Amino acid sequence: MNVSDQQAEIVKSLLKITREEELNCNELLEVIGEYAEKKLSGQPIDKTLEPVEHHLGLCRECEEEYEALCKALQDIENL
Amino acid sequence: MVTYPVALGGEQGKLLLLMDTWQDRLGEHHPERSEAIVELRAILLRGLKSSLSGRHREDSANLEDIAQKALLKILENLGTYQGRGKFTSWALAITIRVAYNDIRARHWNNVSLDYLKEQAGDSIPEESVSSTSPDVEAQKKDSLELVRRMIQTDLTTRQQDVLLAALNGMPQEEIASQMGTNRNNVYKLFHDGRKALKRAMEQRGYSRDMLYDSPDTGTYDQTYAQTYVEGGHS
Repeated sequence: MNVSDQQAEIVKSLLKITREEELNCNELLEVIGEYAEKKLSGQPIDKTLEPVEHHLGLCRECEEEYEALCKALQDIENL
Repeated sequence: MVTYPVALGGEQGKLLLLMDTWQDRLGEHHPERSEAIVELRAILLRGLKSSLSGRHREDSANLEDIAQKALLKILENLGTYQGRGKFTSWALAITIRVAYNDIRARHWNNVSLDYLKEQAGDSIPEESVSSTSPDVEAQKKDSLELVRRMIQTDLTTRQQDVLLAALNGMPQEEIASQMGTNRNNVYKLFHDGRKALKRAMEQRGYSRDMLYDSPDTGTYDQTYAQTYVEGGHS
């Protein structure tokens, strides 16, 4: 398995934020609605939701879905 | 335990029905179940349209299909809603995941893990252009070489496959499908692999500063975004 310099750098940057315990994508799905609501209303993110922020920093797909969710919630809110 | 107020009849019954939550109203025996499903479906469709506007164009028939698929999933998983955030936010999060899984599957349907492995075999490490000192450059080069070596020696084949696919922008759902598993297991392989690499590098004497001298995660995000938007496999 050959990895380019750029990819090796990406792996290093991932190791920098790797934790022993992380939320997985399904666990995130259970709390992402609450997190998005708080973010959109400018409320502080409490300790129980901090792992959500961490997961979003690691998981491109969940981050993309989160951004889409924010758009949807903003639209529904404006109904 | 949900109690149904229909027996009360009249205005009192109606008032209690209005107080029922989405979870109650979508319950199998609730008298308002059909109406609740129609209402929720309309919300999901609207949310889908706005969330996918711009970046992913989907025709309305496809959106209807996605909303229906999501609705079934929501009804199947009603019991898992923990009441954290609004019910509609939870339902929309599920709907958006269903939609993106569908979009990603279509985008990646002609790319196999084997193909990515072959491509990786052909890749050549880039010559770096940098203005930093030769010592720093040499240290950086060493750490990158160590990363490559550790990937070979400290990861299982499945962890290597997941890492390689992820580095090439393949979505986890697609990796899972090709490996005959699910997204959670792929995330676990990815996570366990990262933990193994981190431990292995630290055990080989790389201090945190030396190991983590790389630029911040912007590099990771940019590469991922570029791969996904442009379709890195095409």
